[in-house]
Amino acid sequence: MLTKITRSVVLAVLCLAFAPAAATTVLSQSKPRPSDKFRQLEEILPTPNEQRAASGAPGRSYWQQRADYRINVELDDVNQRVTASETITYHNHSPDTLSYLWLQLDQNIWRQDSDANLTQTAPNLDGRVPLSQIENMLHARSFEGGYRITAVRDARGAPLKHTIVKTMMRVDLSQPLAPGASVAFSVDWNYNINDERKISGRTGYEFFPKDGNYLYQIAQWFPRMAAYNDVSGWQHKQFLGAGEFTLEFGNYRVSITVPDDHVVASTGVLQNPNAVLTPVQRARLEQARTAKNPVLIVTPAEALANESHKPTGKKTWVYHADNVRDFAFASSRKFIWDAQGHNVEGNRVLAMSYYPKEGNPLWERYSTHAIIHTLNVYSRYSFTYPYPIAISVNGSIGGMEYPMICFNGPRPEEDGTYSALVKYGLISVIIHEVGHNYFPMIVNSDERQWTWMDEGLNSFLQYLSEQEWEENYPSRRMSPQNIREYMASADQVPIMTNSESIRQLGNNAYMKPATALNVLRETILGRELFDFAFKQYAQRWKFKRPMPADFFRTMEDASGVDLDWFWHGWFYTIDHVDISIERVRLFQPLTGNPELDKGALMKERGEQPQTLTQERNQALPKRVDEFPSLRDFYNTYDALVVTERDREQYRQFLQTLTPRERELLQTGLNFYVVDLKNIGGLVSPVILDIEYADGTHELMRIPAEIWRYNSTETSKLIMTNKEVRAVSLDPRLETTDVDIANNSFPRRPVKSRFQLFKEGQGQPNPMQLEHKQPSPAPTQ
Amino acid sequence: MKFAVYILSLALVVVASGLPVAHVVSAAAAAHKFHTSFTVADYNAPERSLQITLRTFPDDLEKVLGRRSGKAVRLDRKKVTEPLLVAYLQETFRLKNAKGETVKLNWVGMDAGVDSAWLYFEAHLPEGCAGVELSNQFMFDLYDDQINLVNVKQGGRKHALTFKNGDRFQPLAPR
Repeated sequence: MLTKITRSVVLAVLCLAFAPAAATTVLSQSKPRPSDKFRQLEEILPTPNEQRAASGAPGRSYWQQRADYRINVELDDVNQRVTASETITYHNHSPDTLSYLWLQLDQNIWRQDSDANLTQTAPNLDGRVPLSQIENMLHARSFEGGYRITAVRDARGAPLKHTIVKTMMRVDLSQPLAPGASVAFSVDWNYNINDERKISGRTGYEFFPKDGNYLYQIAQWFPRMAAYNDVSGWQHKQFLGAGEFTLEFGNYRVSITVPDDHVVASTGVLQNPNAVLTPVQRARLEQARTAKNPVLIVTPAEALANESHKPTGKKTWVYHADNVRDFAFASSRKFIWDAQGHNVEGNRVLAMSYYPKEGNPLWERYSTHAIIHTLNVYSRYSFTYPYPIAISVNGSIGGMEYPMICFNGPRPEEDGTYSALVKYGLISVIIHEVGHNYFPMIVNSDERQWTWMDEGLNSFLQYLSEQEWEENYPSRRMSPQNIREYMASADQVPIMTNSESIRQLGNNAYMKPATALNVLRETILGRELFDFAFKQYAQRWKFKRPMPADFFRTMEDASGVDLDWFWHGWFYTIDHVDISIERVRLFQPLTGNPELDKGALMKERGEQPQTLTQERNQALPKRVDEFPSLRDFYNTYDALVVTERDREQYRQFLQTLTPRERELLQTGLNFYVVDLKNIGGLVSPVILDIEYADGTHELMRIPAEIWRYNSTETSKLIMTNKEVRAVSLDPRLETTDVDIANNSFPRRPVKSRFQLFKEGQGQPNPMQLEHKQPSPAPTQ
Repeated sequence: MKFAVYILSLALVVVASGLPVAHVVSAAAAAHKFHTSFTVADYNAPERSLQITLRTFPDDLEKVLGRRSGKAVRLDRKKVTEPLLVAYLQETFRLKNAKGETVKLNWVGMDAGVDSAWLYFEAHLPEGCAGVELSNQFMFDLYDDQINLVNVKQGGRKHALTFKNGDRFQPLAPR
């Protein structure tokens, strides 16, 4: 449809003369200040130093603290309480002398006077409020949560001065802790466990009214060392609920005492199987190590029998974990337990799932498979899974991650059926939470400060893993089309916003960074460069604490591509991608050959429509026809008819040209200029699909640097000897362009989802066409 | 000084805590959920109709309808679910015309996938969008931090609205 493309005839191709310098214009007093979207990030990022190198790698003097724990804990199944004591050995690897230490008291978020409670805004009481919500509000008000710290002592047993500051505790050392020195001290405490269905928050118990049993998922349950690092000093930003955890690595030895009919799932390796497992269970566990499918350690029938059991005493399960930043466990007499050994790139891992009967038939089929799948895919993109254990536990918690263990919620209905939603919800959440072992459990980013560093990166790898589970897996995140509405919306904060201040956490800290990385991988760097750089980041920072700049710098350092514009646009602004093809102009060179040039102009003139008046006037008798003597030269002269003089001038013109110039003249090239406008502000590569009149297509992938001189308007030249019929932008929806109505020229009407749906109403659906009879509802 | 008194209307169904619907979580949301709905409201001038597409998360939708009806709700059982959904929409997605009268929503249908549920409905607005106001309280009864984004398109003009808990009526289009 060339008629809609502006046609201009230019003589420029062979015009070798220089245009005179533009006349001097008076400088405007109000100079426009175009924003420089390619401005370098150096001035925003912290200056590289000995701890953090300019390449994004840990610097030559990188250091981090270490905390080792020995904990004895007892779970009270009658009163739902935890009572415990710990000895922490804290190693000061920093260059600083510390006269006090800070610990995190996360349970204090449930004190009645906690900042989290006091700053909670009023709930919505419009509409119909279920009684259960009122019940939960009343329950929360009467819950006596929070740590009761009963003792803090030094290594010799003498009391240590300590001050509780909301969710933190300062312990004053009797002697300052010098660089390189270690100190051991102990803490005793107890607390009431929250009913997770009423007061939710990553840990708690679930009560099963039908059989009267409890299922415990225990986390944030011990006073943990606050992190002390080169960027924040003590990271003791209060726990308000959204910003998760900032922790130090260490070794743990934890003795967990529970009723003797409970089964415990835990971070770490079980040290005393002979004391807590039956010979049959130990034999099954041995068999599981080399099995090709999950092997039941506790069968559904055995778990069902346990449900009506009463404990006769207590058992203590002892676990040891090396180099973890946290420790969590679960315990219940309801647990069914399966396990399968798996070799992840040479590391033998025992993948295990623990779930009550309410989780079946979904859990027995999918959980352990999903764990192993996650370890395979994540290891390929980052580093080999280093731990010996990987566990997924079903309870009331929707999804929460800890080292080697995670808690996942989805269950089928009571009749054992489930919707596709629940099935994929379960697989996705297990992939996500097991995947957190890599980010942030091992690449130990500061969650309290930057949610995106673990959730964004993890959601990105979650998507890659889901797409390797089955073809066209219904991934909720990451497809560039799914983020368009959010990107276009006004109520946003940049990704680089502190965890507690983020609005729309899911969209901001999960989906947007994950989508950004997807765009970076597929559209900007390509898979090979991206995967190399991403893996570099993961390998450089495993078992260390990276900051945002370390990620940005490593990705550039390893890919060899300046991505400052990308980090700036996606992470520091709320701009979105909306590029419009404003118009396409055609320039055709005059060849100088009068036969061709005048012919082309004559053809163009011939294509002009005859006006209505011209048409009606045509039949009128004309005076010059009646009196032919009135005709002269001008009645026959046509400026577009080639004259002998034209031909002579052309001959002379050709003699002035070199052979190369003569060749260029005869190529018959068309010059199309595609004018682009950046409406959304976010700089993006430009992907153009050129459709020619002969039906062929050409794809032009233009890097984002096309916007570097002018980030609001730019244009691209297409030189071709074919005729262009249409140009469209981002034909495969890879750039998150929010408005596709302006992505084609000539404009093509884009039907809205609403219109498509409405038009499809009343049509039989594909399944109805396929099977004349409805298929029975799935039972499994 | 007197306080305005509002009647707290309690749903007369007690949702048992063990109900399966309560177990459904936003897929893979870790401890954080995506509490957002996305709406495109497109004024179709020839039909004098505001055509509305609301995208939400299917698990949240099952949860809120289950909470209100006191029984487990599955979106793939449309016959039972659609009447609940229409009633919920009429209550939470409210349009007022320039005279202040409530505009009825006409249900078109639903597309429920695993990752998103799309609700289609329209409102007859013979006078166009001028003076029309919207209150989008969708899911506010389920999540305090729910945010509803609405992009309104009318004759080539676009306008973005954001509804947070506590927000009431907002003009559909800027004057």
